[in-house]
Amino acid sequence: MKPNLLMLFLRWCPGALGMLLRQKLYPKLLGNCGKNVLIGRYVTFSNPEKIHLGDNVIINDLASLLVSNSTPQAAIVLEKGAFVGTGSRLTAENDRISLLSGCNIGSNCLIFAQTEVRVEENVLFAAYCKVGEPSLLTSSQQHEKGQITVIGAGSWLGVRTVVNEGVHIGHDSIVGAHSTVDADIEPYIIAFGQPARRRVHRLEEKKNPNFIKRSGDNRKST
Amino acid sequence: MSKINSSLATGGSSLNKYKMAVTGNTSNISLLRYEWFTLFVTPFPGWLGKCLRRWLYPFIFEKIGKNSVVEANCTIRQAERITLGARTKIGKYVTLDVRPGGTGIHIGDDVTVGEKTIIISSQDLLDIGRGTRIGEACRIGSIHEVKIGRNCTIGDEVCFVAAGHTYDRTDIPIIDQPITTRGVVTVGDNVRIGHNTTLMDGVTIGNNVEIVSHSFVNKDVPADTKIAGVPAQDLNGNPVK
Repeated sequence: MKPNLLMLFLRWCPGALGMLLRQKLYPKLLGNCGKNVLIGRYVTFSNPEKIHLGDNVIINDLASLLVSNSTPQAAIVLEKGAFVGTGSRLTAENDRISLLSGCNIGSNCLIFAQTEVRVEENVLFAAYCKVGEPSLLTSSQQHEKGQITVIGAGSWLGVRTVVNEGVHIGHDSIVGAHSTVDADIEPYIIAFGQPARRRVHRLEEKKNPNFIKRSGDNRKST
Repeated sequence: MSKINSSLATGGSSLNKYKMAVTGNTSNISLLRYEWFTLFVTPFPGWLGKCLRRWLYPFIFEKIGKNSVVEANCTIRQAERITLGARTKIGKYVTLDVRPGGTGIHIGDDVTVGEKTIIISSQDLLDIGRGTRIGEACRIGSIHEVKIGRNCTIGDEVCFVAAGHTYDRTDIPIIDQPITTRGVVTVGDNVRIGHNTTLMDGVTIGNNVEIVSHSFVNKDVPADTKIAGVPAQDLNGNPVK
């Protein structure tokens, strides 16, 4: 009971006082907590002993990191320098969520891990993205397939992108705003559309910058 | 590493960085005043809290009009650059953030801002015209000026994008490449912006426009039109000119 009352107070406590108290006391409550971690107000943790934060992680106000009790693999790992925007929700329902170093998750995003979700280094999520939308496979089929959703290193998901469960987005790729990604994307590809079928290679787009504009100018955004 | 984390990790004491982020200067008096308000005035619940804020917020804001109601637990940074008109209603957990170097936020009379909405002025003025209603959980970001006209209705979870990144280089991650912004965003009077729409930086929306929900607007929209889709087009399926 005591840790829960303490967490309730820490969650509410405003201003620099709240920030300092959370920085000093949350390491005792979480599974693992690095140095210089900044956690905002009204951040909800569920099963905090399964949540691991690296150094210099920033979690903004109103975010929630929820780990369910359903399986032992469920956990949330944020490596050093990860940033979670205001109001974003990370829910490890059945498996783990890993945000590798330098990730920047925008505000009001949703990452839902029915199967494992790995967001690799230096990925940028714009606002309102949703990753891990459940697929049509049953959970035993998914488990057999060893499904994992991977957002490759250095990628950029535009505003309001939806990424289905089990999709692999290659490194250094870009997904246009309002796109729905239901199939794998190779590295260095710019993909957009609902679903994201229109593809152009970043290096080709560099050579011919009018390509995207003629195809409807779906521009990416932070 | 993202710009936020790298700017926090390098140079300057933590205290100075915190002071700059919340008050825009390194004065201890400003910081103490900000902390006092944040601890005792902003979170105070209920009717008593609203009265307390109505009494005390005018001392820190640039200007607050009569009968304005600011609900509890808003995040307000550099309040001396924020103007609220008369009879405004600012919902719970709203963020009114004037970043260091930001010009300010002007909110007109009779404006309603829904819960959890984030309004950020990074550089130029962000102006919301009178009578406009903004939904919940929106994000209105600005680098160049953002001007929203009178009597507009903005739905929930609407995003005004402030900027993007260049992605010319393939040897460094996109997050480390320069930020680009196309320019001023202008939304006319009597505009209806549906839920879950996104407006890109640099667009101009004319008067009396209706933007159907879930649209993505990246081009200027002439007055008196109705547009929908990703990217938004007029209802005959013609791209917006």
